[in-house]
Amino acid sequence: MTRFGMPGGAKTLSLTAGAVLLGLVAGCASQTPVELKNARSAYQEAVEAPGASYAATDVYEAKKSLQRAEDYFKNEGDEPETRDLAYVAERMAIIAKSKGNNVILLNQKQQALNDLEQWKQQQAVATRQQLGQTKEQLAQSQQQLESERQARAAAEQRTTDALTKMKGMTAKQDQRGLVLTLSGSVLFATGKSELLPGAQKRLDDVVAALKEDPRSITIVGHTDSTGAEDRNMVLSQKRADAVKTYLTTHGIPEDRVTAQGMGQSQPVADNKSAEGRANNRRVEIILHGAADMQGTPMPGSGQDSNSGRDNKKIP
Amino acid sequence: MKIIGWIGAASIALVACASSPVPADRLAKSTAAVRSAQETGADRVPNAALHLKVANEELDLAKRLIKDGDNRRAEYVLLRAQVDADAALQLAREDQARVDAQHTMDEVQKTKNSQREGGS
Repeated sequence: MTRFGMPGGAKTLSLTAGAVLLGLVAGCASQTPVELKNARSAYQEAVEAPGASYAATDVYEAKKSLQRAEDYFKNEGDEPETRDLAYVAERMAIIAKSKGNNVILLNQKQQALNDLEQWKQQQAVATRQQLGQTKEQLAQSQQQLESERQARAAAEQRTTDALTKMKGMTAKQDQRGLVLTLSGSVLFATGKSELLPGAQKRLDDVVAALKEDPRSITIVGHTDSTGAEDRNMVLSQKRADAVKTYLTTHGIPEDRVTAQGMGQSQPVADNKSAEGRANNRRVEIILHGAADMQGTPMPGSGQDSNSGRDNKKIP
Repeated sequence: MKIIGWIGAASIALVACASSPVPADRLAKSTAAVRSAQETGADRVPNAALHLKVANEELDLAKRLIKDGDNRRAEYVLLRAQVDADAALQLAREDQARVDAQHTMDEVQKTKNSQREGGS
């Protein structure tokens, strides 16, 4: 310690106080107002925002506004006007950022509408393609059905032609379908239901003609009026069954064939004469049309009430 | 931007004139900006409503300053009011654009979904 010198502690205290004072002065001179800090931050956000490029003019104006605030602060320090200018700069940066966002949102909306339009067009194309495929499938189905119908018609025609040409039997078309009539005397002995040897040849021809034909078949036995009615009913049934058995054991599917005895109930000629009785003793083989295949009309029903009366010779 | 131009002009004028005139033009523009923000529905959008509230308060303060004869200070406060009103207006528009975009995207998705469900 010297006489004129300051005591060591006082000197230290004096130096410290001076440093603090200088620090305070320096601090006050360089202290940035919060408005300017906010403006800088807001401007940075506006520049880095995704929509900045869409609001380039506004970002530029915000930059100029911030520069004015910075210049004012540099020249005048932290004055109320500095804070006002910084405040304005911050708001302008906020506005610039918001305008950029606005454009992005408008673009998103437009993009969604464009997507929808594109999606609708794709849907329309897909619908047209689907419709086209459906039409094509329908046309193919119709073509297939037509082919099948033609094949069926051809098969039926072949059957009809074959049956029409057979000797010893007649083939006629009536409401029940194609009716092939075989004389009872050719097939059976009097009062019997066993097929005669000569009958088998006739039935073989029938089997050959019917094998490819898809139609359902009803075999109907008839007798003349000689003898008891109930006995004739049983006999006609047995004869129909005998014919059915022959057909089904020679290649005609059983589910296509039904047998029915009608006895003497449906004569086609006068039983008083020998010729008429011979005509009444018969077996009918009925081929039902395609429309009847699911509901085979039975002899004696309303559908065949006039069977044998309105028959037309097959051309 | 007009505000920038005005800032420059106002700074010069304020420095040059010791006694500033009543900022009638600035008062009219700020008042119009506030009204425009209100009409846009800024008061219904939280972020925008805050700026609108501040703008109204600044407008009231500026009127008091003018009444007290502090036209120079009033001019700056009116400038604050105007940019706050502009910010409120823009934020309200952005909000509306966001609602519109979301609504459109939802409708588009709904349309697609309903078409898919109907077509399955």
